[in-house]
Amino acid sequence: MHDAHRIELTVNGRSVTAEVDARTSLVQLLRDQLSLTGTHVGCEHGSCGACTVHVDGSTARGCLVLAVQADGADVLTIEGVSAPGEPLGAVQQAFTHHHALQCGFCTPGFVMSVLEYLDETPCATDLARRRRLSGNWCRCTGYQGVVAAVRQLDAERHI
Amino acid sequence: MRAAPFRYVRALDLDEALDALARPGGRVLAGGQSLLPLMHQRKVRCETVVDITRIPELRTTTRSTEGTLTIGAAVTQRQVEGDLTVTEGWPLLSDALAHVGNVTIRNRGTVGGSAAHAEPAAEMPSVLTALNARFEVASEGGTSTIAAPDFFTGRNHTALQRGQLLVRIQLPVMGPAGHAWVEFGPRLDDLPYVGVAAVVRLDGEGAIRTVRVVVAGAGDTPEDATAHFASLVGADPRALPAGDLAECASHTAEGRAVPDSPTVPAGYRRRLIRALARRAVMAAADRAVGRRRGDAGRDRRA
Repeated sequence: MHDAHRIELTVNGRSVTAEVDARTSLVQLLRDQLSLTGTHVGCEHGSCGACTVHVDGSTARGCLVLAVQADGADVLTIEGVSAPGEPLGAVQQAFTHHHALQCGFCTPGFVMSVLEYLDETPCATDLARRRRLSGNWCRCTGYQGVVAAVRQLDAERHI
Repeated sequence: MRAAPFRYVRALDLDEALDALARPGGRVLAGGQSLLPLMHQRKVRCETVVDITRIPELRTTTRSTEGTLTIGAAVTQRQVEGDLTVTEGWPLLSDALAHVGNVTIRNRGTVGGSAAHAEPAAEMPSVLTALNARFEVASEGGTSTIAAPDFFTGRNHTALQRGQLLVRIQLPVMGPAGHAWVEFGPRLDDLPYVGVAAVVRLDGEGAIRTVRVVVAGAGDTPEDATAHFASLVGADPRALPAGDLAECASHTAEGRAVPDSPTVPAGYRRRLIRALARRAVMAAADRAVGRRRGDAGRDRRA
């Protein structure tokens, strides 16, 4: 059974029209139909955070949003944070500087989460930062570099 | 894995939703943070998914003149968490919400959805029970209200029948009280093993008038353990008798329905219930005292 739906949404500032099956998730739409493969599929049930994108200004699990639900939405992916050939954004630079990535699989999801966090009241401690980012899992780094990057980004907020 | 095929219906008003849900094989989609994982894993299959998130009347939170808070079924957890009316008037709810998943989950997950999903160890069913929530349920025949103890009927089971939709959650005024939500689990974002909601109210002299305790994870539904704490009525909240409190907590942990599993043996779960019940009541009593001091100070200034 196919239940096809025509949807219109904005992705990284561009208008997009797509035809999706009811059960296509947002991350599947982004990767398979729009070739935006920077957003990754990890656990498919919302735990790991690799699929984290922004929908209408706040983070969402790309695997737990049906593409059809994103009709009319404004979606931001890692490709919209900085384009190829352009300088990296502040979060990406901090991650690079503090060795907050190794294989990079979790990194786009982390960047999207950190971007949202940076609009909130800053955490006072590293423990609070770790808790705030508990929705993004990393198998490589042991998180120390991620925490250091976020600590630096927090310090730079006061400038 | 991909979900088994289904039909998607986006309801733009309540009538449309109820009409779609009246037919067999329909399930409600709100935030999707509980339903979609189950569908991806094919633990749940359904014919039709009815998206209620674009029904305007389900997306509002209002406060009546008597002070009752009414939360629409499609209001997100993050919206409720950040609502200053809730933080001031129902701090137990905002505190507990901070433990539900993580920010990303709460951006889409709904309080109504958590209630309807009725996961025994989850925060919302037990906290809403402790707050004496009433659940407004709509069907083609009209609306009715169900009290929390009658709403949560089993593991992932509520009183909702086919063709019915949870539309609003009503919370009566909490009034001056000390509250606490304490939970413990293996991972920060996941469901806890056990959680305890406690609300302590004081009388005019500052002694304990009521202790309300609801335990998540002690059975298939929120476990109202209030009766086990009856001996604390009349006690001085600044000096809770340790032996009495321990006994109350022990009785709470002795429920017959405590689940047993290889990862969480019943004995361990009982120890958690005992420890968390003690901590929750102590914290709530402490807050009740602090609140009374604060309120008394405010009265003197007035």
